[in-house]
Amino acid sequence: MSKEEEIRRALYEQTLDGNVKEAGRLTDEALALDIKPAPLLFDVLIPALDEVGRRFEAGEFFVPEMLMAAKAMQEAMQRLRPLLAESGVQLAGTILMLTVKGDVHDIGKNLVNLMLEGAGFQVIDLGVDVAPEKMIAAVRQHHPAVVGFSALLTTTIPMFRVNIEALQKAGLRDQVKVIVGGAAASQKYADQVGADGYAPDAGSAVRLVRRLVGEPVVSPA
Amino acid sequence: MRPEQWERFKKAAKGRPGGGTPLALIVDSPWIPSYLGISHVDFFFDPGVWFTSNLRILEEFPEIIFFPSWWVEYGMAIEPSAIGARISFAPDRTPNIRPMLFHLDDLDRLAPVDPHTDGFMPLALHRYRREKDRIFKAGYTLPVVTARGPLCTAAFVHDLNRLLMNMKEDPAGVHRLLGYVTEVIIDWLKAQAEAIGPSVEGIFILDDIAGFISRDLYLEFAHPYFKQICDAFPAEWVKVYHNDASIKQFLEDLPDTGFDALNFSYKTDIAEAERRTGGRMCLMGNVAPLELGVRGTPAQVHEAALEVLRKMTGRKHILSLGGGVSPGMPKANIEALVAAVREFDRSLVTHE
Repeated sequence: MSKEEEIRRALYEQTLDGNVKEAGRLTDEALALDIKPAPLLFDVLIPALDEVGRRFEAGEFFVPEMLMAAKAMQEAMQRLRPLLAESGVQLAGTILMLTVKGDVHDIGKNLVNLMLEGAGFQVIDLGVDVAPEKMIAAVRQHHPAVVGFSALLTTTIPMFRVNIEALQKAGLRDQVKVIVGGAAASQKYADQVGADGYAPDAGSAVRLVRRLVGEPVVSPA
Repeated sequence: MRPEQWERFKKAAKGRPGGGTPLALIVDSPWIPSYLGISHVDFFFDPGVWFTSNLRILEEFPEIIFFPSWWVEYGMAIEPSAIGARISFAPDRTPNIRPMLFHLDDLDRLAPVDPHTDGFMPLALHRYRREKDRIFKAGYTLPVVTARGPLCTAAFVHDLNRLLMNMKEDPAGVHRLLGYVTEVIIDWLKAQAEAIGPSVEGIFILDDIAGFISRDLYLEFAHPYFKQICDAFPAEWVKVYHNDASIKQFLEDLPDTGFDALNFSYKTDIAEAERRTGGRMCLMGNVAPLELGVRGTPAQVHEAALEVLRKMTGRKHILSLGGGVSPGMPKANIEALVAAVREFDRSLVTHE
């Protein structure tokens, strides 16, 4: 096995294991060997995150393992992000996340944020209890590719429809994909309110976003 | 609940024969105010509203055991408030809780909690002392004291993601935090029992966060603290654990904590749970609270309840939802549970 292959494999394993320091060190080592940042992202880090999602769905990984893997990936991405930009590769795919008005639960949303950031997306988190007007203003300001709504309660989930109608009324619905999640949500409900997608967990959310908007990198800048 | 209902519940939870399958529902502030059309703030802060709200529910559904009976709570805020978390109230929902322990090293600066003086604990104790005679005179009892569990409380004061990541990055720090909150929880339960008096014969612990972690992490960070809490109370007391996140990864281990009864999600088949706990726990469940309780028809709720009852015939069982009553669960679906128990009991009598 070549030194390059050895480092790529080790980075994959350490990211999967959520070893934050090692993921950073191996990324530095890979870059010192002149391994290009884009292949590191596409061929090593994103496959590692895919495997995290697979293991989570299979019941082999739980939330702490998922969080640590996302953190390890963030550590690597901190080093890769500026180099990707310098080399003419532009990170794309801003994701706007929020818990709907009337709902203050954010456990799931925060986990999705971490996973998306780990996967290379830029996440703007508006927090909890977010009014439709605030969401609309943020869409106008940040031009996200995806807006994610979270709701835990049956009493607050109707805000999915209210938010989507607000996007339509503001003439922004065609410019963004809408994803929904949270304990009260389901695929059926997402379809009913006209969302573009639903994810039951953080790993699925990353896959859903990638399916809707593509990989988090576009080239050239 | 009424004293005779407690006797039934106790019998079922301890696996003693007789009494049939009780129907018990966990009800609290996410459901009661919206069901009755009152504001959460009135429900939390006005003792008169709290009393009459509970009474209305109990009188409307006399056949149901509302567990843990009259419950003074402020959403999930009591334990975190005593430790120092910021609690923000709104008129139409349970309060928001913001963490304050950003670094585990700061744990050394936290003073021990006194449930008689700190956070919302003295308010709740005062409510129990003031209202208990009225509750007893109305024909009801207060048999169970309640607390959020150690992981749940730790997650509120330290932030959930931070807590879960620190299980990997700073396990010793997490143990110090869990040791601290476990003491708080035990002291809080004992203070409630003292305020209410000799009617108390049980504890109720709610902790979903254990469902987010693997069996290995459960055995390290949850199980010993659950056991410590159960061991702090008399063996003959009824000990009930609620977790409607995942329990599959540690079902075999749970009976060793000392909990007698388990309320859990519909996502785990009740027959599988019975098999894997080896019949050592009374299973309290597990009709889907949201998908059926709120969104299902009465006929669907009725059928799901009958299915659970059939699976658990002759086993240690209390019919309930797989979790608490969710906001928006209508009266007709609650009545469907009552009708299912009646029908099931009739079928048993006919069969015998």
